[in-house]
Amino acid sequence: MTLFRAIPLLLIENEECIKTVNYKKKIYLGDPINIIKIYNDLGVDEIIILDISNKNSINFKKLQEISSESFIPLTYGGGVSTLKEVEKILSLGFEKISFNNKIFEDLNFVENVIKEFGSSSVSISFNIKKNFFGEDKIFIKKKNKYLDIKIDDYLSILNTLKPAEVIINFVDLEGTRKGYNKKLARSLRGKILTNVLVYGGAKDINDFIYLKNENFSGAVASSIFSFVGLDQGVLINYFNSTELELIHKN
Amino acid sequence: MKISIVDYDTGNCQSILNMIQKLGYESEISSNSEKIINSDIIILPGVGSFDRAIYNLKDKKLIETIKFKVNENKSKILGICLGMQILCQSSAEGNEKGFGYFDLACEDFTKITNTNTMMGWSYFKKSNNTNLVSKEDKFYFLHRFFCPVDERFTIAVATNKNIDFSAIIKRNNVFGVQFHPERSHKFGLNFLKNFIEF
Repeated sequence: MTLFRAIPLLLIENEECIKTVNYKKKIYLGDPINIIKIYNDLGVDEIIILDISNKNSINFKKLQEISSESFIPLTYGGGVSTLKEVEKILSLGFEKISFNNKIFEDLNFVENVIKEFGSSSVSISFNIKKNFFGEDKIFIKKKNKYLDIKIDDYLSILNTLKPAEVIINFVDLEGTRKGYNKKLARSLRGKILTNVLVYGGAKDINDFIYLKNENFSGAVASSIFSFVGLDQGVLINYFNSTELELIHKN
Repeated sequence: MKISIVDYDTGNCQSILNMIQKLGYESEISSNSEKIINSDIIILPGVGSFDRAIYNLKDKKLIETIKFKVNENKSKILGICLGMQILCQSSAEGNEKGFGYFDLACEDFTKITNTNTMMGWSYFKKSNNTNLVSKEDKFYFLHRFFCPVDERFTIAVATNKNIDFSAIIKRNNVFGVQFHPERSHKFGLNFLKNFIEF
């Protein structure tokens, strides 16, 4: 049996690590290589790296540097659109490629990635955001619009696709530390056939323990692993060994 | 002591190299037969598919080099993930023959009801008393195909759903691990140290 995973997420923009709140306000965290080295020493379960630079090319040189500095499993997302790019990133030592918008832009491509490189190489995240009427809808960040499809219909697309894992991303909670939307996460969890993880709003260790007990595969967070103290100063941190034991033990 | 990490275009060589260098050993990534012949220990990484791994090794004329090192020089070799599977006889993943150091046929988790790719951190279900690993160690696994458990070779067993599989196999100087030490931070570092010093 594999253990529940507590995963720090790093956002990279123009070779700098940043943290956002609701994907808007940006805080500079540091150099990606330095941060990866700290997470290595802290023995984190895994790292997800999302490049949000919005450029047309992938910074392979930086990815190579990141991968060789890392002794922990890595997932990369951001601007991947050809099978050659997927192959290159996996050959650099990244375990998984993360797709989000690509599902709406080019589902066929994601299917081909799974066919060519196996489902274990693909992680899919999707965004949930409340619309004007307070309804939870699938949201496309890149286009800043809601998707005109029922969440259940979207999940059945994912269930056909069978990626290694699915990450439910609560956009309204991102960076707020208000706690995951556990009720909705739980209800969606029951409809997804693969490993399910949650991102957006992690408050403290209790969020992680809750999800573990509810049979989620892991939880993704960035604020709680980036800031500490009342003034929320930048300090890369992770759970200590006693806390990790609570998260890992079955 | 010189350690060669065999580069045959299917693995994550650089982080293995970094880990070994962190342990203070001389190591290099190479696909050059002569350099591999002159090393003391061989590490065979592996990501990708069984047949492609064998094609690439054939293409680089490394099959004979590796066999010579293992059979004649009795050098220690460690296969990692797919690198371990190609040390076996065959795999459900392809048609090519492996090195055959372990007469095992690798199987496919996804062909078994309710079982999927093994992905994530796991402790061993059980492990023999060796100097390689301890009960508290956990490692990172990512694989769809697996080596069955065989009492002759298996020295650590892990589980995916209800299926037991070999996490570490060993036969004389040939070692294979299904997990990724290079992605298992302190546990991986410790394992590689124990393997090198074994």
